[in-house]
Amino acid sequence: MSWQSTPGWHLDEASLQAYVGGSRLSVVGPSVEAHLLDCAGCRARLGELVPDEAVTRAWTAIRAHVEAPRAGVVERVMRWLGVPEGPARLLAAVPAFRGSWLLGLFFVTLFAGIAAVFAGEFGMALFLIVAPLAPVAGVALSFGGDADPAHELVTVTPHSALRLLLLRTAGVLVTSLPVAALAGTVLPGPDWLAVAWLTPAVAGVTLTLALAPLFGATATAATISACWSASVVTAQRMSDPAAAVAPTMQLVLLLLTLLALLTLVIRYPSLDLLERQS
Amino acid sequence: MAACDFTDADLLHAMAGRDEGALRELYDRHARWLSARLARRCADPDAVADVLQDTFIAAWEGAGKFRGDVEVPAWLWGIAIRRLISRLRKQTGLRLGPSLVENDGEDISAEERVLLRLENVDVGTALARISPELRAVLQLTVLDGLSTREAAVLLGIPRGTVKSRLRRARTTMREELA
Repeated sequence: MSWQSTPGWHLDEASLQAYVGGSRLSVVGPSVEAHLLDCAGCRARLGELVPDEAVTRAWTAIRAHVEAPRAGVVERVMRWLGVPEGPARLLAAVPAFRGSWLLGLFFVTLFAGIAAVFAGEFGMALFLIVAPLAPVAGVALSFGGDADPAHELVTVTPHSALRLLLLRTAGVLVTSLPVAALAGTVLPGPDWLAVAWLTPAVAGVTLTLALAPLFGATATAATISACWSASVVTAQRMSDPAAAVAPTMQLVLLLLTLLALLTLVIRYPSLDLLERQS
Repeated sequence: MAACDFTDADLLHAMAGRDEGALRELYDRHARWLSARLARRCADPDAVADVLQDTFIAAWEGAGKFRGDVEVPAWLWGIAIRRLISRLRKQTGLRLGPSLVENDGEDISAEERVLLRLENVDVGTALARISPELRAVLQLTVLDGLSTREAAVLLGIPRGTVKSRLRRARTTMREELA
């Protein structure tokens, strides 16, 4: 580095002091600066003349900045499980991962499950309504532009929209399905009932994803929830709430799911679930 | 990390890997002279501290982008001077430092004559004949490596003025040295 400057030439103490002291140095100033860029020794000597206050203050702020953005619990758990950093950050920002939502979801599904086990037909109806709608609500919560803190993050992400959508939906399902699945295993009635609620859940989620860009996530989810609740209640009035997930209904729901998936894939290039609905 | 064995470029490399110790070491090596050089362009100590802070945060975030095509001190100064410009753009009315203020007609101060001890050196006298306005423009464009647009922002004058002053400064220098 010193090949540019004369070997052994260094700034004298008086020049350094005049430089730091703020003297107007029309010739020496530029010369000092040119030499400083190349000479670590003179930089160190100059440094000794600089007062501490501003340098210390700036360092405090820098350290605060560097240490501030710690990953949240969810993100760290996912990183520990081997999820790469980018997806982990995006997933952790899904509202369905917020503690309050998780806790609420857990209790609602738990009570519905308990009701199904102990409260007979009415409880069964309640479970059949709640279990499939929990993931629908999670999706609506997570993909409505207005409720999503990662909205900006997502709109500028380099991932393809579909990949991102699937990733975040998977995240929502992970939070909302396990409790219902657990409750399903102890349900009274025929064995297939334990998994029968999955079909309306999947149909509800795909329909929400497919229709949200048109009507808004919240409105779509609300409509779907109302329709589903009505079907279960009607089934209960007529005979048995389980009729809402009887084989014929399963077929209808599967058909709806396929239609919704088709819509999703066709719309995929312009897919923007994060519609500016507000 | 054990500090002194590492070059500045090593430190930047470690910073790209999120090594906070490397940032601390880089700061210890460069913060002081950077703040002194900033202070010669901006007389407001708070603004200098802010710019110093912004500079090292930018270096921390951008350490991975350092390609080694310039020396680290020049790279840091490049960040610092641009942060200073954007600061001056946001907060108008900041006082400029001693190397940018226009003086009151005196070419080279008595103090500087003593420091120079060489009153007959060509470049020295050539620079001394240049008016302070031209000198500031020369310093910003030639020594700080700024564009005429950036220099114009720093000095608070139109870009065209920077360009014409620069032309005049070059002519004067050439005549003096011929």
